[in-house]
Amino acid sequence: MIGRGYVQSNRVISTALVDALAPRLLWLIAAATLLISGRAFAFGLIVVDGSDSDWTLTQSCFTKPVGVNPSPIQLNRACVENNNTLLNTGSLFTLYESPSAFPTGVDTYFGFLYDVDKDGVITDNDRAFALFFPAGSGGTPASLNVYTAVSFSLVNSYSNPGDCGGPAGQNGWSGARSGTVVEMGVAYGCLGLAFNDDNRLFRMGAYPNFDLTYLARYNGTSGTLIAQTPPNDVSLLVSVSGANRNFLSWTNPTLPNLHEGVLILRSTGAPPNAAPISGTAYLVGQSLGNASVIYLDRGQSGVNTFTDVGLTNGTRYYYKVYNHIGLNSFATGNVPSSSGVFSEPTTRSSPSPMWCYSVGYPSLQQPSTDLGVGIFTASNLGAVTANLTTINNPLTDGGERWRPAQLSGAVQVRSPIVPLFNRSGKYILTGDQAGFAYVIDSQTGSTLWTGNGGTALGDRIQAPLGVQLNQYANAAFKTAHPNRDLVFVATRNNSATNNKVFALSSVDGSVVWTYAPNNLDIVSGGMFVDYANNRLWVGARSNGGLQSSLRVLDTLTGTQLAALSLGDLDMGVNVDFVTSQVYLANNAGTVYGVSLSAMSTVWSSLIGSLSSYPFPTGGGFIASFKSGSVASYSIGGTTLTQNWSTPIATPTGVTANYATNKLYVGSSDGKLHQLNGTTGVDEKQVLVSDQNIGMPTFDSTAQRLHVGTLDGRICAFQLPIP
Amino acid sequence: MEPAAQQSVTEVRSVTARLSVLGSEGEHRISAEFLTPAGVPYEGRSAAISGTASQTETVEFNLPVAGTLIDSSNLTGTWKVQFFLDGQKFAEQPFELTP
Repeated sequence: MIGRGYVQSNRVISTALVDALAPRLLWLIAAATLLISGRAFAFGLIVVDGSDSDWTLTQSCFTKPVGVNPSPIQLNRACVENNNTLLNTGSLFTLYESPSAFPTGVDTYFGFLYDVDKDGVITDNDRAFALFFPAGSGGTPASLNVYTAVSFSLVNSYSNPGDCGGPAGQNGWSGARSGTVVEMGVAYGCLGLAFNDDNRLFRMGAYPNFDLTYLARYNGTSGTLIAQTPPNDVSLLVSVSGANRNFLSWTNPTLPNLHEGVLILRSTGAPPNAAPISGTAYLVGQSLGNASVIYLDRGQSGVNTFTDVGLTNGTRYYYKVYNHIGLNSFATGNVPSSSGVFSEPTTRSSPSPMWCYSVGYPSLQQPSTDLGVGIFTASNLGAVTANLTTINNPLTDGGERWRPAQLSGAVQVRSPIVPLFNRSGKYILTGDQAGFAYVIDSQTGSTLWTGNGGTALGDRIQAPLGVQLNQYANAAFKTAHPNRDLVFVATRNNSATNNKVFALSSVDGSVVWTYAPNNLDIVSGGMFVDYANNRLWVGARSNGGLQSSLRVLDTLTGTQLAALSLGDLDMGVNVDFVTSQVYLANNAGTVYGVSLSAMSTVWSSLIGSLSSYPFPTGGGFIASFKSGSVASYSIGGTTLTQNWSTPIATPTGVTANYATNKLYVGSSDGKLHQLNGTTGVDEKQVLVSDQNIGMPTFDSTAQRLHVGTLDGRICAFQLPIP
Repeated sequence: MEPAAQQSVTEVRSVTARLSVLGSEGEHRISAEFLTPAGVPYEGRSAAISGTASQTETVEFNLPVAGTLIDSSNLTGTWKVQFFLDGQKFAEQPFELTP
């Protein structure tokens, strides 16, 4: 009877049950006094006689091993059993069974690989123990051979079963083959082990065709066999496209136990549809499904980049990177998703992009620009990214300024970059959908602090963070907060009432004040800081019209100064200094002008649902309509006048090049549209993606547009558009 | 869906994908990938589970909708969540989001 434990699809479904252990141990102790003839151990229980008739106890078995080449040997069962009779030594028994008789006309080996040094990975420091049956031999092996576990160099060969070590009278090995069954017993002394020191990474196999089981961890003391879960994946896999090349980079798992090397698959037309099989050795150039192996390394390689050259510009190449540990045990390769990443080499000649940086998950928020130096953004990958702008060096243009800063959740906020009080350099303010707020050094990517002492401020942060900088603040602010800036964070909780607004100290992220009125719905849009009056304007939802949605707070204390019921407000609040009004739009399509000083509504107009906040133009605004147009409005007193309207499919918010009077807007048609600021004429378009693209940003120094995409890229385009 | 009666991207606060796994002995990793109606990977999450052969382990993955880029970009249609156990896909579930 083959036991209760089995491994299926690389996962343990069940293994030996604990309640079976106690009676078994008693029985084993009783059996220890028996004298067993033949090739069995004197101290053993199981008679190695080439049949499975003695395997009637609980055993731990693998399912049918993965056969790379099922000929000439196939295993349909591979089981392991510990026999400890004296509590300080013991034997390891293994059973191999084939669906048909094992071949006798070729040299065959049956054995197992053992993580002797117990470091969690099988390397040449570890050993393979194998019964050797020479061609033509019958049921008795010629020897127990011991090899290094990766290169299979012979270390020892024991033809005499009693020669391989262990306590006197309790050592040795034994093996037998009969028809479809091979049994093998090895004393712990022969393995260099002892009871309670027998918890090892383990793998059984038959040779010469390497029909290997999955890796598992076998604990002989407890009699359990636990499948080794796949090794950790690499992380933060990205690609930067250039002329006829794609440059991949990733972060390897921590050396040495979790990383031996990587294998990279590349395909075209669709992501790789097959994965490397653990236990299989691959070669560069080898086909695997629709993909081919383009890179492979071993030896605990520290390589974490790969430049794929000689590619065709405009062709989409898909990549998956598989970390592997000893014996070609491969990780899932589902990084950043099961689709991997794709990248399209580019001519770098407008209208083609200068570069695109692929992160694999949507990045539709407007990027932030360090003019002429770099571009910063984030994505649903949950990492803040930084790319270089190097106009005169195409090899570094678009490259990473630093490895992405991994946060705890998806990031959909636009992240302002600001100088902080009493610190050099600039800092990225951001929040994630795990509810954390962060300040990240734009020069290094290191996290300066995580707000609230590292404790989440809410369920999610969806609204861009606001900041009041001490150096630009008035005397009242400097008096109240003499040695710091204030960073404002609003929550998007799983509640329509318990959302909060926090003011955090720029020094260490500690909470300075909290606005928690118990009637605040989710906040999703950007807040506006009125420096002159020390006011924070916050737009929120209205809990079905039950709560006021626009709150104005005192930035010095968090005290509520005004509350207006304007319907659900998901989009940001912005100021027009010409009219001294803030503009905001509710989800139902009404736009409001609210007096900056009086904090009361000056005018309102139902114009239709917007996809982004009203973009102030000085006495008016630009509106992007969900229904598919972009329009310009002027404000005269309380009257709204439309200047022009241009059809654009599901437009994003706009960005402006004031020097040329051009507006740039993204669209669900995947194009960047250039509109004439005076007439609204859709003058030029650039195709970016076959999916939605985000709101662009303009670098006036480099004369470039940067835009993120739903398909997980950030792309740079040189102006002017031809 | 939360609220349960809603499917509109402006009204659905979040979608929760709940998965129960029976007999997942040992330590394993459950991953979920949310795919847009166009099949684009939108977001991935993962969680570790550790159980016995007789236990049922339940994991939840929550996708915020209202006020997110799903809402502002009008990503409506049939979405899909795919589940992976130790990297192997083993289940998927569609759900609908409307304008």
